[in-house]
Amino acid sequence: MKSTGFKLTRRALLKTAIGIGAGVGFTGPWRWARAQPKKPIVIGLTCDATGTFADSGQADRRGMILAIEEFNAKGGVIGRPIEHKWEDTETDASVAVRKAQRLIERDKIDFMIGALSSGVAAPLSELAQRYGIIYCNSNSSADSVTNEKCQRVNFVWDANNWMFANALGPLVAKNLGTKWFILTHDYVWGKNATAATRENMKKVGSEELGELMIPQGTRDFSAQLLRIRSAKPQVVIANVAGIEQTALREQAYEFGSDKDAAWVFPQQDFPDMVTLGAKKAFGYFCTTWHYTLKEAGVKEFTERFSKRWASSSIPVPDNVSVNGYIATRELLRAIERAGTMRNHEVIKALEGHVIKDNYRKYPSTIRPWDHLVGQMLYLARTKKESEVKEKFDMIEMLSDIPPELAAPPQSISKCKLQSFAETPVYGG
Amino acid sequence: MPDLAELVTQLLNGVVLGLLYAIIALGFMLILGTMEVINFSHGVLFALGGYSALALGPYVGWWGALLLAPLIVGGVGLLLELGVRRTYGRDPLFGLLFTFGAALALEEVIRIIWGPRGYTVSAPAFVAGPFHWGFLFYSKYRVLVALLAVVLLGLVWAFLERTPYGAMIKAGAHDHEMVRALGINLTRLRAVVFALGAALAGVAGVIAAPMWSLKPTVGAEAVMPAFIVVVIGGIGSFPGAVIGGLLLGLTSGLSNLIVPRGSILVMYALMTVILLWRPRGLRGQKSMLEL
Amino acid sequence: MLAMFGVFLGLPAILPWIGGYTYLGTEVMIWAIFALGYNLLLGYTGLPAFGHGAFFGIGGYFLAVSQKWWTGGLWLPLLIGILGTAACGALVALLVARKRGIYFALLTIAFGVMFWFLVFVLGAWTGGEDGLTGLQRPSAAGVDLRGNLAFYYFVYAFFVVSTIVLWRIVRSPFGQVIGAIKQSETRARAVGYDTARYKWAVFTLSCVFAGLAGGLYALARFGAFPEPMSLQQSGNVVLMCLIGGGFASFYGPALGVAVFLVLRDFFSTMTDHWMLLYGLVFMAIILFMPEGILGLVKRLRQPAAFHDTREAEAARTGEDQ
Repeated sequence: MKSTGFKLTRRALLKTAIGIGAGVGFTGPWRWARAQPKKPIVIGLTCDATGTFADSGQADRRGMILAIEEFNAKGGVIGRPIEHKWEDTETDASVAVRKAQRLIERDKIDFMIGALSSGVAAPLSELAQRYGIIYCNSNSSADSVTNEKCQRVNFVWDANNWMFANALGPLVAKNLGTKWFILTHDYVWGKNATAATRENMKKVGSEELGELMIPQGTRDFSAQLLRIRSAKPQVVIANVAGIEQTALREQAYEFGSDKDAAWVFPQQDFPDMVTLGAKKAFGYFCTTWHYTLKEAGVKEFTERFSKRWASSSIPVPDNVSVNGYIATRELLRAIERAGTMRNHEVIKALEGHVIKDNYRKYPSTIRPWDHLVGQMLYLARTKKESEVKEKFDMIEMLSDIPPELAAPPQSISKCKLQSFAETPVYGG
Repeated sequence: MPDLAELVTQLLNGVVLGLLYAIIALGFMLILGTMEVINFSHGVLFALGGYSALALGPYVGWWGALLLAPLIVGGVGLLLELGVRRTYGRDPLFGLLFTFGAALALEEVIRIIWGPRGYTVSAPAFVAGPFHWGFLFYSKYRVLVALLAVVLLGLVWAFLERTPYGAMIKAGAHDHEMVRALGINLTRLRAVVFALGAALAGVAGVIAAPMWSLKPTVGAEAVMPAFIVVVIGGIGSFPGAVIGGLLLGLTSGLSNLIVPRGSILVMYALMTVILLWRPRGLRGQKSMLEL
Repeated sequence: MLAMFGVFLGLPAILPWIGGYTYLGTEVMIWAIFALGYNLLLGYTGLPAFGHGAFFGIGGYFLAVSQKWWTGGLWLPLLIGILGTAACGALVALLVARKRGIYFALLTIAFGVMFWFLVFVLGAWTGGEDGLTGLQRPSAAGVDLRGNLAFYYFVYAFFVVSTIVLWRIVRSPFGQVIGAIKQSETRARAVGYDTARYKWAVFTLSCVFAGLAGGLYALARFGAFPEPMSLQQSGNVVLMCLIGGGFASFYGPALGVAVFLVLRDFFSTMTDHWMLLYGLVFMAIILFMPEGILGLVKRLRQPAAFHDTREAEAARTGEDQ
């Protein structure tokens, strides 16, 4: 019958439509499932949010997160998205170990980045070596981590004490004077820094007029400032960090001691200078970077960073956050080059690599024998308050040293990296 | 070898520090003596005072902050007391633990509002910088601190000795039953005392801020000297707090000169010696804490 | 007690399901040993020792120093850790045994700080604030302890033994005496006990367990650090005992440790500002649940029989709220 035919036709049409729809629907999810992103890579960030290095720790983290986000915007690394998990290491070795353990066991991180304090860097790098997890020390400047305590999985991205002392020595002796007075922060870092200073003093022919130890917790520096005044040095080398340095500067300014001599703080992290303001952050220091450099890529990087972190307490990149950024970026690039997450391959991809777009005059190299990133150094001074036009533009670069001269030669290295056979395989 | 200029400077520093310690300890002691509560949050109240100075400074200047901060911190003290009062009459351990928890929470509040970074507070312009006096260079601001401290101590003394309310507080510290029998509102008295103690910590914070910079952890470092001063001077004695404060300040200053590594240790050693030799402190009276 | 042992026996299997990890379980047991020993002092004798974290830390250092610079190995350093800490504790106890109340607390704080300071002064040996790292976990009776699971059960053995030992102590005549001291030291002395000697003994005993726990902790982290010796950390163990109900029950501290560590873990992953929550929880417990969880449980079960000696004492001396 005609109507039956018509019905059949319509039903058939409907069936066909459903059939096609179902077919499309079926293959659709499959295709979608095939294109489903692979399991993400998890990176553990060990940064301080409390404790002495809290400000710097946060700056460090901002650099890391920016690098991760930029990679994710390009589709992740080796086709996988990147997740990050942060833990507050509280500038405390014991807390750091506990939290790192948690990151490894519970969050199953694939890589680890971070550490400012040498006290945190050393035990964490040992922990990482036990598992085989690659660890990038973005901002610790302890000498031990690239000497006696070096690890095959550990890479150090900041300049260390030896480098700061050695870069500064000749520049200071030539420009500021050879009669030095030393202040040593009475703990491991400070003593190492002074040892490096002394070693350098012999080379540049400087004379030590005296040394004072600054115990941790010192709030009152009048005795030390008076002693300095009576010793009449040309240069004061202040190997003092953290809140003690802040208090020292406050009082030096209060007493007028900042005019007694040229004050040199071999290491100065930018976040601490922001706390102080130009007036009290007086003096000379060594740094690895500043956002006002006129090198390729600096301005554009600064804009990207400032846009991303406009609401943070320090919305410009500084020497701390740029280290965090570059360490993260290069780690991810190394994974790309290796084509796998397997740690042995990634380590090999990192060793010896030359970083050309590091936003400064000379490229940096990841040295294969001690995993220290050999980089250039700048000598800088804090501008006087009257010279500061824009809030964060507080420093002026005076001169610089290329990486070959700045970084310690292989001959003096005390590092013996574990062999690949000794390093457990991880990832991949 | 320290020369004369250094010695004199350190003695002066010791005095300034000691007076500051005395103010902090006084507030602490009022709370301890009247309510037998070991106020662990005293340090963070001190820090709060400093941060208030930071926040208010641009609007009312340093002097304005000096007047307003104690009010603010005193207010916080009143709030705290609402919780602390539930621990009265029990083991002093509970009061201590409660204030310990409060200290942690308040420190984190500071961190939330102002962040973990450090801040510097400038001294008022007319006392910034050093002055000369013969061979001596000394900080003008510290002289101001000493003067303010003396005035403050004088005010507190006058309050305690010369006003009826002060008499009530002193009585309350010794004999609760009697005070109640006399019809005095013990609850209100205690609230006022806590607020007063907190306010003293707050004002000390404002004064100390330009000397020591501000960080959320500054409070933790102010609590222990308060304990120590009270132990040295004796609970419940005003002159004890002052003497104790000065003693601690001077020892700290002098040890800074001679053996800088040990200056913190010296404080604790001093406390230990006093506790072992003269447990009531130099001028302490017997308190309910000993039962 | 068997229930508790059973729970910990099977814990590693359950933990990953509830968002935990084996290392956390190990930490809970180690701190439980410390807290149970410490509760002898706090809950059973009524002595508020505030610097006890120092002994926990010293235990770790004795083990670390002896393993690294002297003997190496596992058992001997552990033994040295225990004995060394006990010796230090005995020394301090000599000085504080005659005190009580707030003065006792202050003195223990002072000594705690002094030991902490000592660690820094002897920095060449102890590694200063960086801690002493690079420790080993040698095999115990042929079992490799480097893995987290194996180590967990190693600690488990000590946990079981310590709990049983402490239980016997508390149930012994010695335990009765210290309970009497807590109620009223004057009365105990009037009856003829040399309370100072008992207090000395309790203090030293608590340090034995602190030393054991400290040593195990150093093994767990492959290093000894000064962190647990700070004043704030010492306060933690007091809180742990309190939350769980150390005044009311033997197991209180163990429960308190578990709650504390789990909460801390949980809070710190939730928010950057976990210290605020932590402080608030602290305050809330003191205000509303000072007898702790187990105390609350006991009170709910047998309201008439529950007897917090402290509350009774306070009621007697007639303080108002």
